[in-house]
Amino acid sequence: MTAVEVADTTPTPPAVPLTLPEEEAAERRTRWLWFLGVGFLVLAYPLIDQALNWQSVRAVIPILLFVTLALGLNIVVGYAGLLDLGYAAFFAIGAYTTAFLTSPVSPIKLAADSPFKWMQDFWVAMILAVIIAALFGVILGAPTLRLRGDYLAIVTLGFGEIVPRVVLNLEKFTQGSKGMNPIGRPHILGCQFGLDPCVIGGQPFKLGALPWYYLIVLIGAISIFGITRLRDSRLGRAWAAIRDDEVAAVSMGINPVTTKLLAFALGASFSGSTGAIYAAYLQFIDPTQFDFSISVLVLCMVILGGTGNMYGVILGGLIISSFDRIFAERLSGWIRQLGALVDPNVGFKTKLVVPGMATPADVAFNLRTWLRSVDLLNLRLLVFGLSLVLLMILRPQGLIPARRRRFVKAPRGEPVTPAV
Amino acid sequence: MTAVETPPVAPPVVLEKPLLDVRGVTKRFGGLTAVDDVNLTVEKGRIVSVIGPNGAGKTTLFNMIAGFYPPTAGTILFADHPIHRLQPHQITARGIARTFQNIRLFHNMTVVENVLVGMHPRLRSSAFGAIVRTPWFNREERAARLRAMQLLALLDLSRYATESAANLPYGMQRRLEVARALASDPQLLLLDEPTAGMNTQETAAMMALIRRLRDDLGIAVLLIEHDMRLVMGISERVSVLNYGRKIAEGSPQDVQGNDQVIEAYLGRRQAQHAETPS
Repeated sequence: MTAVEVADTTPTPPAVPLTLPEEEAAERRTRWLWFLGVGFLVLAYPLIDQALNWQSVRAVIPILLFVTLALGLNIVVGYAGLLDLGYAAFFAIGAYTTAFLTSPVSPIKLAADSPFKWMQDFWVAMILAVIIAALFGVILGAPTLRLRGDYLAIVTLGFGEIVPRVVLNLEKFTQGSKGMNPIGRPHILGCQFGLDPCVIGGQPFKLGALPWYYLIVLIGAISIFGITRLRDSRLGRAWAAIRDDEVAAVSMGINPVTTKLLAFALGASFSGSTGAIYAAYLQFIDPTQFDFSISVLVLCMVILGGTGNMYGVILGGLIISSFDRIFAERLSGWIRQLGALVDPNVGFKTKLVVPGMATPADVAFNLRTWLRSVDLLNLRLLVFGLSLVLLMILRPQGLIPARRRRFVKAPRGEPVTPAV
Repeated sequence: MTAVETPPVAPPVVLEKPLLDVRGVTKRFGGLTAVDDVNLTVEKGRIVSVIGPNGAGKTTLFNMIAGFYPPTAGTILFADHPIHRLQPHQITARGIARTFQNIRLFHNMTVVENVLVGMHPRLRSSAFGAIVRTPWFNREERAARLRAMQLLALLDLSRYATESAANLPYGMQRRLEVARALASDPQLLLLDEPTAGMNTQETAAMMALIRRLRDDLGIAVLLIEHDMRLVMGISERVSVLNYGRKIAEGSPQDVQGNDQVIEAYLGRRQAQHAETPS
């Protein structure tokens, strides 16, 4: 029994100062160094890519798009603790809103001098996509607020199935399974993304995928900035409280309805903006691109990295989508090369033949055939599943678990006196 | 333990307007009547206790006042406004805060963050203000943090401010619950067994604290408690529930001598035995 455990009627001033200024300053310094270092690498990446002739910027863009998706889902699943299995639906809504507004195959036909022509601009379409996705977030959120855990997951799963099916069947508006193509491109200084050469001030430039890359980096940076600040605010605390104990949160005066709806709407709006860029980047969308596996993939990113930790989620997103987009293909290539090394004639040289069993020649031949036809992309869901199972056994909190902040920013120099 | 034996301040004779006025409240769960036509008032700056055997309906009554259950019948007025149709978060915003019998802290948050969550209804910052970090937002957030630290100092939890709430020892978790409830600036504090599981010293400290909340902050307290020494030591009025009915009400001395109360706690034979000591 220490003296601390008994509250005295005359409270002593706190023994420990509110902030540990040196440690806090040190932490802030390391954080800034990280930001600067990573920021520089991210900005310089296309140049490095060009210098080393990796040709990877085009492959990196979808990876970054998926990382942004994961950041948005992290608000819903990580911060507010609402398990959403239909996140791809909002992605689809963002993409189709953009396509619907900007594509020449869309049923909206506006004359060149129509006063609504500005609506067909990509940037306007993207903002509308964000708003409409957020609206659908609220529409989905409202009836599910009473549900928790598994039940919420089932309803969101249903929503995730409904949206692509509606898109598939509303052929008049969405072209159904034919998909929509082309789609309006973002532009800057009268220069359309992805259409080279681009003429700025009479000078032609070949930009390739660069504008896309920087656009998505910009969106990602804004997201990280906004999410960090929201997390450390009244709203962020309310999300965390609802996730921890809804009954206690409600009796602290937190309105569960608006708090959860805000999480849904914000998460969905991330998905909406990402969907808009995704559609414009690919120039073709159809319902199969937004099926359940996308929702699961994004959820895997969140869980792998560490639910509720933004940096963890970024890492998880990078690992999973780069496996999906780059490594699976290269790894398959290596395994196929390995298969080619297996000598099918090796079996004929051995005398070991057991009656009734496959001959070594058969085994070698089959192994060779099998290895040479390996395609890890077909096995991707198996790989993700296995990696999640391993994660749950080895590190259930994720690669970078959500960390409690050690320091509280308290007003400097003001003495803290007990409230009474 | 001198504080325990000090007789409570005698209530003034003037009829006060009650801050909380529970009128004929009934709660039925299917065929079970958990609370049956109970009347209860708490005046500003008073400490009122509700006691009764297990299953007497005390916590159900609390849950109705806090808005978790709508009453089957009856009305609950707080500061002259009916609150029995309101949601729990609206009731907290009006100035009733509560603690839980089985501690319900936010375990994944630090101690000071728990208190900051308690301040939720008193803060006005919006999502926009948080992202832009307007000067107004910064000012409010700074003030909130200072206030949270002051509350922690009041409950002698300052040095644990940045600890995880889950890591606190049991008695301190109870105190943190009180700090968190105080953060919403309540006029009325509902304490559901605040000293359950505490040792004598901790109980005495909690008692002193409850009295200080009343004396220095003018907060009215409605208390559910099993520790009779605590109840009799600090309450100005005690209501006794048994099988959902209020069987007695009055000063601690009145209630202690009430036959029905003795019967409810000890059973009939012992009660008769107590009446006619051989």
